[in-house]
Amino acid sequence: MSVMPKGMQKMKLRDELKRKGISPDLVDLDALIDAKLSYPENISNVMKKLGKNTKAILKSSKTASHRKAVNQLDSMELSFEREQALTKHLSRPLKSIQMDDARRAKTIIRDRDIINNPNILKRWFLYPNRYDIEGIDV
Amino acid sequence: MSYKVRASFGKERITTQKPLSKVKAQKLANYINRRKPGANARVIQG
Repeated sequence: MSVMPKGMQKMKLRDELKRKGISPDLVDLDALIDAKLSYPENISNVMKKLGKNTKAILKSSKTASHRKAVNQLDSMELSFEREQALTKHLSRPLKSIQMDDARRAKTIIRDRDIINNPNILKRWFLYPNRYDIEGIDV
Repeated sequence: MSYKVRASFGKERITTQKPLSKVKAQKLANYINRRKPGANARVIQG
């Protein structure tokens, strides 16, 4: 049985990657495509290989659609982090919550700080008087 | 019987960790509903 030529497979895979929001320039398709395999087999192999590193590939890309995808991933992670922080904040005694909400700390932790350094939430919980999280205790 | 507070803030949904008395749970739920924008807090058993 004849298989699709490697050049054509490469071209079609590039389109497929573009549709999935992955820049084809960042993927070494020459190395990943096996000329002896059919197109569906090759596409499943490539997607399997990319599956683990999709996020890293997306993060290194610069176009607007890719940035949007990265932001979506970040907001999903952020939502989880914020839930944990809110749970910890509201599980403290009511008097402590009221005092913390009323006082303004010198350092205000914003969303991008949490994305860059998730450990900052641990510091906030250890020293609630030194830090405030935007939208939680500010 | 012990009580907890369940609250939602848009996307985030939380339940307080420590069991509280009914009065304390109600006070906390009232505080959340009053102070936090877009919050919906209620007392649950648990």
